[in-house]
Amino acid sequence: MFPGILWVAFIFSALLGLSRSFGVERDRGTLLGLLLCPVSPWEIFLAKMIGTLIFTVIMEIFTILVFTILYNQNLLPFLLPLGLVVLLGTLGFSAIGTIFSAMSSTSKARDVILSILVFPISVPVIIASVKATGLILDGGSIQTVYAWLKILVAFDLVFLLLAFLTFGYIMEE
Amino acid sequence: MTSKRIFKLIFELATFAAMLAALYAIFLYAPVEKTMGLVQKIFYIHVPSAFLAFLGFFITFIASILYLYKRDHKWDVAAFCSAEIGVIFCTIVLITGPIWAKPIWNVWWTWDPRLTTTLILWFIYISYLMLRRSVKESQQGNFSAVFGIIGFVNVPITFLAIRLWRSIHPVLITSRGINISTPMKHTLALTFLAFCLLFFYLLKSRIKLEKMKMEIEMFSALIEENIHYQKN
Amino acid sequence: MGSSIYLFSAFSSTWIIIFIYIFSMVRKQRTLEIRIEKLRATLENKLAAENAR
Repeated sequence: MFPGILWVAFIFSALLGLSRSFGVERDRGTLLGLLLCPVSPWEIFLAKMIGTLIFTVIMEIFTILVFTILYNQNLLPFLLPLGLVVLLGTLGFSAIGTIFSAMSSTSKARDVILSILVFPISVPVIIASVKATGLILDGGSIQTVYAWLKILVAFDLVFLLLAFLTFGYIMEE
Repeated sequence: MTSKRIFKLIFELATFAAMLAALYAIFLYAPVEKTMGLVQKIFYIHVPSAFLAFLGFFITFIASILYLYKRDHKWDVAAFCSAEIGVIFCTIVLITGPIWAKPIWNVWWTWDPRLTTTLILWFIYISYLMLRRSVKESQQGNFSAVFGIIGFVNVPITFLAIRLWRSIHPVLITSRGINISTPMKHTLALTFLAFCLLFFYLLKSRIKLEKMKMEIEMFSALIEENIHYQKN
Repeated sequence: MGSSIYLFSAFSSTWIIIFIYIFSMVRKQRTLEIRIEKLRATLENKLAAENAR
């Protein structure tokens, strides 16, 4: 149960960062300024995604500290594999979330639409992350987690590729 | 009658006849399965519907790509209508599945890989339809096209779910071919054909509805223009 | 009865879903057809009034 709770907390932090990612841009009309910069849409996407990623990772570090204290779990021996899984999972979620944040920022029910769009698509990433985290916390080595890691990496690559191909179309007005 | 109308009539009659023939085959030609009994006949609806849901979402995928590439509104219409019908067939899968499961596995639902991924697929395309209603007209096409492309990633996953993970969902297409008896194969093929025709009939009708809406907009625009012209 | 009830409900739910969809499409088509006819008539009246001037 512990990895599930952990990832629910991670997802909510990520959503918080995501809804703000493009929401601010649309509200203040700075998106036009961003588009006028001599950068490709892919670079705008990367910038936004990395912003969300950094925000979420900071929140995740806090969350892990709090959970370590509340649940009396010692996470130090697992730090490296856990960090890897958390990073990969957050990367996938942020990638797909940034695309949908750009889409949903135009509508009135911004956060609702964002959640509706993000959750079904990101389920494979979330499931793989939760399973991998569970295996790691149960004391498995990288080898046991390998199958889920492969899935995570595959999805991250697929989502990044899709973002590269399609983000330009989302940025059009 | 023009040849186009004759063709349309033949198509509609063929759909009707195929459905009737499939019904006959299911109940009077196919043998009753020995372990599952009569309930097994749900298979003849469940399997073709699953494939047609995938087909619908595949058409949405291709139409979305073509829309982004060519900017022609008709591809947006095709993508949207195909997604709607894909959702219809996916709903049928998700309803007939549990109805079949209850007497066989003794539960309505399990979080099996195949079942879960199919449910996720259903949610994805419901989100697609909701996305279309929530964004404004000018960006509707672009956004839904992108979502139609991203959402399709889930279709191969759903299809291959039984092979990638351990699942209690029965496997139909094995390496030794489709391992059911021959009259069952015939019935399946016939039902599949009937549902295929039904799919395209629904798709054509839905697209025609959208075309009528566009016609109305065009006429309204012309009348507006006319009024403006007269006022000037 | 037994397991036949399941067979019946599966088939009938499929039929119900498909028929509801078809019926809703037919109804929408009727309303749209009427609107198109009205619009077409209005447009033709306007054009006729135009030409008469």
